Amino acid sequence: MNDIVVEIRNVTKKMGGKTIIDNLSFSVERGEIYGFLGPNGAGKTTTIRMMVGLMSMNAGEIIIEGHNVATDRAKAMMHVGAIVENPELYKFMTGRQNLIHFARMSGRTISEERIQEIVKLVDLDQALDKKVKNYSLGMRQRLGIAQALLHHPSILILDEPTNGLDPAGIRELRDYLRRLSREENISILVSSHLLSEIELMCDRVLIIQNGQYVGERLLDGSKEGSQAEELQSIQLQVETMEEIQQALQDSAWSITSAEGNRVTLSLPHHDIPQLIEHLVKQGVKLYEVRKVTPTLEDTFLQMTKGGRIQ
Amino acid sequence: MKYFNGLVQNEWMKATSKRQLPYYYIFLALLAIGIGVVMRLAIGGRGEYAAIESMNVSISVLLTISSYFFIVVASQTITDEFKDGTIKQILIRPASRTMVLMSKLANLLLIMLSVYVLAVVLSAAVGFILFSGDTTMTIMDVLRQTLLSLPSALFYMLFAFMVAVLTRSLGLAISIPIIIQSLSGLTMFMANKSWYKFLIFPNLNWEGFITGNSNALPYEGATFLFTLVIYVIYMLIPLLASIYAFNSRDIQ
Repeated sequence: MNDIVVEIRNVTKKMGGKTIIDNLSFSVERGEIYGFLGPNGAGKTTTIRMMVGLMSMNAGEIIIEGHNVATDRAKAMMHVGAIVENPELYKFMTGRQNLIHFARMSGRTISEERIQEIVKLVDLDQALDKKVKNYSLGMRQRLGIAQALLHHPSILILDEPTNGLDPAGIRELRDYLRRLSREENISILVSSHLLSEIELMCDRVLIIQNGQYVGERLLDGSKEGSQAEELQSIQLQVETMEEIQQALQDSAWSITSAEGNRVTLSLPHHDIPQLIEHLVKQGVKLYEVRKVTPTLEDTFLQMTKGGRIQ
Repeated sequence: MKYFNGLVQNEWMKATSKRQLPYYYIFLALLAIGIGVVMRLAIGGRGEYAAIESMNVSISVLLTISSYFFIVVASQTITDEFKDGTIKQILIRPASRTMVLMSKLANLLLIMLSVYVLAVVLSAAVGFILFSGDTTMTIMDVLRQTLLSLPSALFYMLFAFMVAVLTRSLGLAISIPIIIQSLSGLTMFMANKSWYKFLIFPNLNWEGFITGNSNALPYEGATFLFTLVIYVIYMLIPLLASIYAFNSRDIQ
């Protein structure tokens, strides 16, 4: 079921005569982790700020759970939990006071039990009554997530959530977000300029550059085999180059690239068994047949035409 | 309404969690004791000065100093949220921006009320402990004098609040109202000008209207109604300017 939680329709944002976001559209489905990828300055943060109503837009609309952010902001925001950039918290108050503060602002009644539950979930029960200024960055991050989840939002928006976290912290966050989306059926929108991070975390990724839609891609190979006609890269390991060149001479397939004793061919998905059969009949000694799926990095570079990545 | 109350409770929690407000209460207490002790030492005996008159002096000193404190607190309630980035956190909630501003103003009024009550109670306590002389002045005179400082304190507080919203700069939000307040006395030299009565400064002084003492009127032919109208207009300007600017701004 394609249940849409957030929809961005033809949104444009201009600032000082410059177009920051140019006619951008995309949507996030319920329960998915949606990656929002682009080089620095591509407009990720601006888009997120428009989604949460911190910035106005010049054209288009943003719908969250059926409520237009521009005209029905209060209702839309009741379904949103967000961390925009850093987890900004009141350092002079305790973790508990921070949670009470944001609970009162949520527009719903949040019970003491819910606060306890969320604190257990992010593993902060020990530090809850300490002032936030004594928290480590990882703890602040977790408290940030706790305040964003208090009111059972349908969408959690995280802007560069792993900034400043160490590898262990990043891994912890990733596992945690995966669990959240699976168990509570929350949609999560994660923006990042780090490919590796998005690749490991997300179900689907949107790539933008210079404020424009560049492409969208499913991750986890969930698209594989769906289109038999789609061209597929196959890499073969053979004994000698001559052998395979000879075998392919009168066939419909040709070698697209070769490196040592590995050759790459591009052919429709449903042709793969025939190719193997043909090569075996021709007496080619095959050591390995491997599908080559382009990595997100390849796609990204291809789509942004070598735009800056890190 | 319940939601709004929650927002005001939040503002109060933030104000009392910072050290500033509790420390200011302690400072007021020490100051009240200090003023009392100095007066007692200067005057001598317990019976030589009236408790109520000591109370009157003490309150007026405490509240004069507090008027600067209100300006600082009104500025900080806005600029601190910008400085710490927490402004983003409170503006991505269902609360409208106008409601956020109103909750902050309501909290400023609460802080003001707490300081006024504390100033009166402390000054009275110190006064009655240290002095027992006779006077014609009554408690009601002292309370009336205390309340007469409110129009001015409220105006400068709201003005600081507006500058904070417009500039997000703590330095400007504190210094501009204080500079205007210090220079306001100079406008008395323009008292003979026809437009003098349209300035806010003479209309902050309501003593003549409340006491019925025509010598205390800010200018000749002043009426309470006219002063109230001018006062309301000068209060609405910073209020509406704050609301407008706060609502129309993109938060970076």
